[in-house]
Amino acid sequence: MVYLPIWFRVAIAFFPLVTAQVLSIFVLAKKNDSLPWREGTAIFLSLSIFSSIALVGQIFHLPGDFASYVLICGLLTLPIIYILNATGPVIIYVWTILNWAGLQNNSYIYDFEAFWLVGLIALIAPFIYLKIKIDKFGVRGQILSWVTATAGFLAVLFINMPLIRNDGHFIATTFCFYLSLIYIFDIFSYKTALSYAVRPFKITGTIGILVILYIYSYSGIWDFDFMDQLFVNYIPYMILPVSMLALSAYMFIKTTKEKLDIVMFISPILLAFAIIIFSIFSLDIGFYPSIASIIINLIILSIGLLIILKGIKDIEIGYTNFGMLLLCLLIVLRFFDWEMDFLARGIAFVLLGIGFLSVNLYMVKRRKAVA
Amino acid sequence: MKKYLFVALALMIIAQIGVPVSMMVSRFDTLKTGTEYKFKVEPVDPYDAFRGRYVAIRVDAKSSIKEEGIQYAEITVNENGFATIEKTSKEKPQNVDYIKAKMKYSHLQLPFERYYMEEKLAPRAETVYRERARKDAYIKVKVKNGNTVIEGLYIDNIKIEDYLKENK
Repeated sequence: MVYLPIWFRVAIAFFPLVTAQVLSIFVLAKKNDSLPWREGTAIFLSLSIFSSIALVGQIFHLPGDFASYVLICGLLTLPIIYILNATGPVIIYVWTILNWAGLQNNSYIYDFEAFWLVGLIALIAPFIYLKIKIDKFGVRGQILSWVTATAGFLAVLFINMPLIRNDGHFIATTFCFYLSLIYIFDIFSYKTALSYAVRPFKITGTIGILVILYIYSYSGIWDFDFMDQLFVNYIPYMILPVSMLALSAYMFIKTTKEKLDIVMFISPILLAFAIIIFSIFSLDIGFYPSIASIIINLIILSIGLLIILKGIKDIEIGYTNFGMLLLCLLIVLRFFDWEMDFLARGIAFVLLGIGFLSVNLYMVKRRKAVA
Repeated sequence: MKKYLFVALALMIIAQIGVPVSMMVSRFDTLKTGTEYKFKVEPVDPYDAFRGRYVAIRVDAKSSIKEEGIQYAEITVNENGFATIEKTSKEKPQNVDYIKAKMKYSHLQLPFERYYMEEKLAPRAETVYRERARKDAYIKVKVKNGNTVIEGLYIDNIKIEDYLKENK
């Protein structure tokens, strides 16, 4: 077996990095107007940082944990984004900081290392904000919008992660505030969109809000008691929800909304406060959980009805069917909770089918009449 | 504007080259001026889907603190000349060599868990390691100011790369 000399192995480790750096000088000097050149070089340079550091570590048997490795690589990637004005490395940077934050979480409520994530997000936030502001419906704006909307879930989770180990319900309150924030942010910024497909915050926000409402529509889930720590221990974890709530309130005031948007925006906030109140006053006894679940069911019902009405008003079959689907799902889920005999279930299903059919027929007729 | 971008690019290149270079410099400094210790190694669960280019190694280390996070492990040498970890602290110990370790999932993780090898040799090396761990296998580690560098993995006092050459 022939071993490569160490200097040769080091040269191999540095080769992609140096090549990418030379290429980035060339691109900045000669091809700065070419988006493919900038994006391609930026991604090549970003990945070569990871490979060079990993190879040097391997060649010299250097110790080091994965969290520090991804964070260092991520921070070295950050300037590429701004210098080459490239979107690709944003995804890499966001992945690295989330990965680092996820790995930082130890099992104690007093561990605040993940709070540094806020600072790391602040380093990339101006770039994302400007790109979305300039061209939110373009390819780069859309990529950044999707990255932000989805990565936000993980960021929120990692910042308030220690709460999960105490009880999962408290992290649900943080998610509720995040969902309201992204929903109202969409109305604040993306209302002029011609299609829902280019509204990532609306899509993720709507799905998230509905999922969390459906989860809390079960009476059994309200049987909890998580305030087993001193209240003061929770205070650092309130910074994020309170900031998100304040920002949401500002955007709520500054926008004009339809009834559906108001219900969608307020529902998760109400849910969050309900969870907090249930915990503080230990309302997980008697008929309180049933009342909470009935209210959540009524909220989902109203959302479904408002979506159907909006679909009828705008003559959009897809929208109406989505509303019907939400109602059907709610009914089907309740079948599992409540004791109903087979005949009643059968009749309910037939009625649902008739409802679907009639609404669709009505919509088709209306559309023809308008045409 | 472009002038500032070039200045920023130059600084970025220096940083990107500087990080791996500083890793190498620190490694050479630790190798040259650090104190050498031999640690007995333990067998490792062989099942790992991502393994292939390294030998997973484990050194038995006892922690004095159950709390998760960074700890400083004090090195003591036993009567057989092997280094052991019997005590940890949250503060850097004075006048004694130590290793920066991490307590995670109730296990003290020392910064030497992998010994990278040539791809073709790694699987064979791991088999040998498993057979000889706790018997005559150990790692030589240089330590300086909490930093560590693995000098080599030894089987029967022979570096594993040479051992595999001799025992094909």
